[in-house]
Amino acid sequence: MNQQFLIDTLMQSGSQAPVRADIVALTPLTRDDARAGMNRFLTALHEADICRHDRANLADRGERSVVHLPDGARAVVLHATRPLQYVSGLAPFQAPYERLEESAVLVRQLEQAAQRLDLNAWVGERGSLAFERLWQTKARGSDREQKLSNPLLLRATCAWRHAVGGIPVLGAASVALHLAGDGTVDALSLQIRQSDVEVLDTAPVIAEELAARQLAERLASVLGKSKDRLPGDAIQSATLRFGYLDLGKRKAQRVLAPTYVAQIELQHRLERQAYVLAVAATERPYLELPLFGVEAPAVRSRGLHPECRDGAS
Amino acid sequence: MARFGVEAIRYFNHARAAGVSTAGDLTYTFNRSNGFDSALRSAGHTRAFYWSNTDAWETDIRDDDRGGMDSNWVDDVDLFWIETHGGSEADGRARMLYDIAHSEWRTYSDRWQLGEDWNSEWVMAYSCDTVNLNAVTGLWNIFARLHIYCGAWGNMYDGITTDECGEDVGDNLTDGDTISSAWHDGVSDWWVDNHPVTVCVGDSATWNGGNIRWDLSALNRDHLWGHGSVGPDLAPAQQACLLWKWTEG
Repeated sequence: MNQQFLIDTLMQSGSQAPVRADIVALTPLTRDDARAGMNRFLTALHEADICRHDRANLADRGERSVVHLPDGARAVVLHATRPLQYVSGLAPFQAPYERLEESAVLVRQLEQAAQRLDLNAWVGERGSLAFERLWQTKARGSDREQKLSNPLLLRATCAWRHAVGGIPVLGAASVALHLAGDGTVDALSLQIRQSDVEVLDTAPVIAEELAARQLAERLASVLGKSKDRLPGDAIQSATLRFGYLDLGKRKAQRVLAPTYVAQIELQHRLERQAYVLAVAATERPYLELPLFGVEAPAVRSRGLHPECRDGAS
Repeated sequence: MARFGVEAIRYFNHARAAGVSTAGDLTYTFNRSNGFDSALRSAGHTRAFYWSNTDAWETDIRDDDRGGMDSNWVDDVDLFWIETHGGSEADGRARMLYDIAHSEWRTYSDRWQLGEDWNSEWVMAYSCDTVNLNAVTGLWNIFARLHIYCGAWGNMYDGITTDECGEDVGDNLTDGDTISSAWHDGVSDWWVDNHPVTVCVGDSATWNGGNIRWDLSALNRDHLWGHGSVGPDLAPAQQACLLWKWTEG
């Protein structure tokens, strides 16, 4: 792979990194905090006429609490970081849109629903929320004679991005709101890191080119050695963003720290590949950003006897 | 409750060394696969097998009649989760890469025939592009009573922000979502450009002359065993249509 080509491509995307950025403390959360967040979430849903919770039934499931709501709906909170999720009891094909809609129409509907929910009440001090992307879930079919049905629009989903002090918190969408064709809120997830905006440190941000070089090196180590050299044009797209990084719903995280995140798509011969890679945007790392995750569980090797169930639990 | 199997490949060094592919390793394979495994097992479902890296073989999904041994593995469980590099052919066949040639480096879906023994209901493949949206009917042969194939019609991102997808799918399933919804929501973080798609077969009542009765489809009805209803098996002679649902951004 031509690393310089990748570095140049990443830099072309313009990450708009500042010269310095704050390291922000995140509020440690207890299980009680998570449940208090759930109560606030349910009240907000109730006040927006999305669901009733007078007959809410709470079940503890280890790292999560699940509230079963009337009409098959549920709300879920994970204790580690307090992400909140509401799922209506609508069946997947219930209340589809009557026709395919223009994106602008869908975004307008979703923004109106978001206003009803007062999503900005969740962003905290120095926080803000910005529209990021529209998604659409559609369906169609074919018979044996290859006769195709018309596509059906089932759900429209808007994603919003949380920012703290103007710096986006990257990772899964901070807010994802799903609407059915009749305007029903089919699902809502809030994944907003809670912060009292205590600034622990202010650190200089490393140059974009240095980050792009580190990311290219990370990709090279993932790609490993190959009998055939990967040509430069294998890189289909590469984008670089600067922001804080949310490490996921299930991981308690102490700080929001500046990070560069690359999304890289490759295609060569028969395989397509898509990677998300991250490196610290400060000289001193404040977060662990491992290139590789965990290993396979310990089960016996399959050996020469494929019919035996060595991999069974 | 359900019996499920998992196959996950993180290292592709043997395939690269053999000149079969230039595909890189995957980074968070086992976070996803272990998370899926853990979510299902903690809800009381039974893991029948978990094969990783060079212990995952293409013959596990290849039909017995085509020289494989699916009746021992993929076709012997209700739900099968696989993670590897994937792709699709112009005629709609899905394709997946292994890191060992046992007996071939890649599987092609024209050699799958799942559900023949009334066991396999659902297959989930966290792999790029195993469904060609322009030729979905090229997958028809895999539905020998299989209910739903969950795959991707484009890229599926691997990395530090998609490490929880497996656990999310598992939690959705055990919270009572349909199979289709559990997949679409679980593998989507609504940020990176993942491309989930779910495909099922329907009978003539469901096709309804082209005015599809979506409410009758497995995409609308199927839940994991123990967490809701499951639609009937459809033998090939009963299948009148192929139905699919996808998310685009």
